[in-house]
Amino acid sequence: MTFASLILSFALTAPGGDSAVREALKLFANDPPVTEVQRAALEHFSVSQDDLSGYRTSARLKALMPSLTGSYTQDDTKLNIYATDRMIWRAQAPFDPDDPQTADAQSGLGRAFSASVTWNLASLVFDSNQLETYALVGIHEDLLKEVTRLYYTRQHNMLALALDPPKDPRARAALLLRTREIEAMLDALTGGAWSRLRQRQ
Amino acid sequence: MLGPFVTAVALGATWIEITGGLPPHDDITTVQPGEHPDELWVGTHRGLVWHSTDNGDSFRIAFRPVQSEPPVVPWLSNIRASSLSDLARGTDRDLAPRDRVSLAERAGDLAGTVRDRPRSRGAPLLSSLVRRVERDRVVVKKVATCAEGVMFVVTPETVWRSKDKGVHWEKLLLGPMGLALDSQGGTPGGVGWLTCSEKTPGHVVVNTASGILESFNWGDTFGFWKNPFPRASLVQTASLGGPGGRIRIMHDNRFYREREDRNGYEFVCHLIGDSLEADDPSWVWLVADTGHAFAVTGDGILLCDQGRVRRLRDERLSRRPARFVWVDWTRAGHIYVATEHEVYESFDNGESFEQIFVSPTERTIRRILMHPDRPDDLLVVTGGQLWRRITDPAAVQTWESGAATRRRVDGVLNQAPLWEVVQTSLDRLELEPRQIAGRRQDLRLRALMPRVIVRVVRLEATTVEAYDDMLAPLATASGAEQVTQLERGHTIWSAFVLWDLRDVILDPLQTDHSWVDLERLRQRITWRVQDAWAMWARETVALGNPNLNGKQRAFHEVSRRQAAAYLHHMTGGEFAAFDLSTVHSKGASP
Repeated sequence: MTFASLILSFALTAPGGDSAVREALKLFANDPPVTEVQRAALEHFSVSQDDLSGYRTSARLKALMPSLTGSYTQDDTKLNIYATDRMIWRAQAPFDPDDPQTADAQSGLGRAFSASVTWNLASLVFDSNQLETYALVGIHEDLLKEVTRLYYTRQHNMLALALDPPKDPRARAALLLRTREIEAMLDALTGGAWSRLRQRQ
Repeated sequence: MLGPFVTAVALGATWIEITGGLPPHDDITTVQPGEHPDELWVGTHRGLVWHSTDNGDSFRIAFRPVQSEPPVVPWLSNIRASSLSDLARGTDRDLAPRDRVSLAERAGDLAGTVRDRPRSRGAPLLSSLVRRVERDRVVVKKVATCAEGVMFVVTPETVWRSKDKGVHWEKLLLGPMGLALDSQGGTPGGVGWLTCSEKTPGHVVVNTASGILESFNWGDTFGFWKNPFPRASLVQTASLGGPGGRIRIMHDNRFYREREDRNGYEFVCHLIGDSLEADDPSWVWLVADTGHAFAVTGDGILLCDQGRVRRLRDERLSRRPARFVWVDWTRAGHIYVATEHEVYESFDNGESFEQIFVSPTERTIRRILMHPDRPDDLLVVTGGQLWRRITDPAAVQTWESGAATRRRVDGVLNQAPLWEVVQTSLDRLELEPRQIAGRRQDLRLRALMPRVIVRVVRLEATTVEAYDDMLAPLATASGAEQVTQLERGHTIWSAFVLWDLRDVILDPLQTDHSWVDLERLRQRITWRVQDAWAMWARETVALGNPNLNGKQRAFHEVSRRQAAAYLHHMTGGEFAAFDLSTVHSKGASP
């Protein structure tokens, strides 16, 4: 334990002082503000307040866009008609169905094009996706709570290490490890923003 | 609300995570008190056992699975840490029945640490159990810790007893009046449950298939329990504690207890209504020294009161399963109840509860422990974390008059009224009840909006017809081949407006389960905001105490900022009227 922290520790065990507390809290001078860390985490997971508002707005406005349907149909027909006209075959000649007098061949090609545009105006009033965005609200709050907790648990640990470290060396080392672990978790939750913000401070 | 709040503030209650050298990644499977008040044994899922002699401030490792000599852990010797959790659950005299899980899968763990010792009357329990474990799956149903260092381990077939806090064990020799032994030394039909008294030495009751047995000499001899009613059943109690260690029975949905002079039974309460099933085997009864009886069921806690059973008044507990109920034997009316994520405290036998702990992570509460000498010193185990409630001795002293305290507290509360904070938070997340109601109203109206379809169809047809008259030479008219080509095309426009009038009656989304999820989300966020607000208020009031030293003030200050930071974001910046980095001055006016 350094001499300075011994003095600080002594000062803090005596009743009092706002100034002593401010002195202790200088341990966190290089920490980025908690609001920035919270924002970084929420943006990293795309569940910030702006993201949530955007999802809700999109859910409502999507009703303005129609759904389009198009189709094409082609129809080929061929028809051969062989006819026998009994009125004009020669008299006395026997009727021979294999010997038609007329042949009529028809072939046709039909095409049908269709397109339709559909608006579901009910979605302008309420769309089921608006309900589903609430699932992200839960994630938003969980993430916020966890990041805030980690941020201040780290500060508690640092206070303990500086002002009242465990007497057992293994316990002291474990507390330090725990603090490092928390910092790693903050980095993971903020996509590395924690380290970047600290370097900037 | 102010009363318990001030109490909590006066106690300076806050929570600190005990790390003290414990490995952060390990699941804490058990916390067991030692023989000395400040002694703690902690077992983790990897089989490590940690030992602290300073109430958790620091830990030293006491056992690793590779060691050949397991430590002699008081109460639970020769047992690996991963088994401690299950056995410790059985020792918890106030354990809720739903947590009594089958330990069959733990039998293998028990076997892993056993040292094969010669069998004798005093042979370690586990060496005997191991052989059974290897042959068939042994289930340890209960471990009961009684007075005078006596312990019992109940398996389905028999009962083991130790008279030296678990160091040596023997199978109960059950005489002609007691349990009959089968060829393998077990009890035909099996053993149900066992309860012992912590206040009446020697008093043990065992429920077996052969009948209910009672002993007054820790199982040296048993006699059949005398049933006072033709069809009465013995109520399973967590312990035969309470004044005189009296028996409790259920008969015709009526709950009776033995008279203090042990001469008959007296009526306590009547189970009626509310789909209560008195013969539900999962019920466990607890009786406080004051005579208040609680039934811990899978659907909440019932209170036996004034002749009938009723649910606890607190809606947060009335229909929720309880994980632990701890009746303080040292202070009348003092109860702790732990649910999956919260711990509640009552000072009036369950009439009102104050929420004192909320699990800060999604890990559930495994166990709560109360210090034997300091009933406010509480340990809570959640998954891999151990939390201790800190009682600030300086804050317990009356450093202000009652009126001054009230003014100060009111001043803090008025800075940010709770209802406003909650309302603002919910409003920002669009979870305010009026916003949800608005959504539901929109849902009803949307059926009036049609679906509009505009369609265009274009048809084209080309037909070629060739006509050939074979009799043409005979025809006067030209019968030469005729070829006709016909081309047609037309376009059809149509527009449709569709209403599904059935949705006007009931839109399918109105009964969608998402609304239930939404309501749960709203409740959850409301509770979390309330908890954070209470934490902020508590820390702010605590900082007004001039008797705190600098270290304590720094601690409270960091906790205050944590709560304020959360609320600041939840309210979109409206909460914190001050810079979060500003130290709350004890001289500041409320």
